[in-house]
Amino acid sequence: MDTVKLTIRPREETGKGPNRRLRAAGSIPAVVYSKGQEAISLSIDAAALKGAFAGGSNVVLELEYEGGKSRKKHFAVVKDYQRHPTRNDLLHLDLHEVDLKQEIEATVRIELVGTPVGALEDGVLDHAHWEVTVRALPTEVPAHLELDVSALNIGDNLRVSDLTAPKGVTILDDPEITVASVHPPRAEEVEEVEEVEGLEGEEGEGAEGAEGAEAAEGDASTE
Amino acid sequence: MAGQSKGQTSVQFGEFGLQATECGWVTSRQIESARIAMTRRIKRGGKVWINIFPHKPITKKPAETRMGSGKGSPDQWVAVVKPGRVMFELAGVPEDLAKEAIRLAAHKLPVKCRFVMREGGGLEG
Repeated sequence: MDTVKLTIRPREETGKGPNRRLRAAGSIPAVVYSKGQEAISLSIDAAALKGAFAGGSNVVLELEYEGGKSRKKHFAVVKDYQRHPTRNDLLHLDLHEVDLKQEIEATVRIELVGTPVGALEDGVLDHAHWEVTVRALPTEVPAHLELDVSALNIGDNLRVSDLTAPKGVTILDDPEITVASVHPPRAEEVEEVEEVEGLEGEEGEGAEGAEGAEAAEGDASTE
Repeated sequence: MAGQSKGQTSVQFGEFGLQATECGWVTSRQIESARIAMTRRIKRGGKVWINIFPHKPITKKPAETRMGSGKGSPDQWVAVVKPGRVMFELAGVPEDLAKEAIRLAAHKLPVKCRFVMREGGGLEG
């Protein structure tokens, strides 16, 4: 993880109204907590926050209190965040103060690299597991882990055990969990055959009927 | 129907999604119709997830009946959808094909929707 400086302002007011006013003024309400300490409510400038996370959210933040009262350096990582369901704006941020000499658990994204051999033969690459939990010193948590899938044929898969963790990083997830696999292509749907027959006979009316019958079942299962 | 969706507001399983931007009732027939439109467009590739289920029964009295004599019988089943809900997800296809498949699916639904992608893994953007 990179270390990025971030200026924070302790805030007195909490609750819906003051936080809405804060967001309207271009700040994000946040909280910082650490072991054995009281949680402190903060506000952070939204633009500064965006700059701090430009290279990904796996960064160590060096917190600078506005006014510079604190003598001790404070480091924190992002523990949680909330976004607006439709606007996608950042609503709130949870920061967890960390000791740079103590290992932490963090979530790291898995990025698949290359095009599988099986995909060239109409196979479908299934990225089943998107992130892993790792334990490492805060400054050594990687931004992401890469997994080369170019050698995968149809029916092959790669597991968490196939990930290569950098030095000092331990992967905590079950090594047997499948990360990526290549499936054979899905069979064409039966309805499509019926549609062709319907088109020949009654210009698609048969197909509409077949679809309606299927829909009436209300099957919302996973495809 | 007030409020925003409380869960499933981001893409969780696949790479692309269809997110509702207004509230409404989506019937079982509409869900199935959207699924068929999507899977036909992506042909043999890809994988589709449906994140809504029509749990809610909607009753209706038969046509040309007098009022009274109790409640009508269940006519259809709907999923209650609120803004922000990612209703369908898609993976294993290129972005342009996913956009097209999701556009076709959106035409089958009674709520305004938009195409969304999986977050890059955090706060950026």
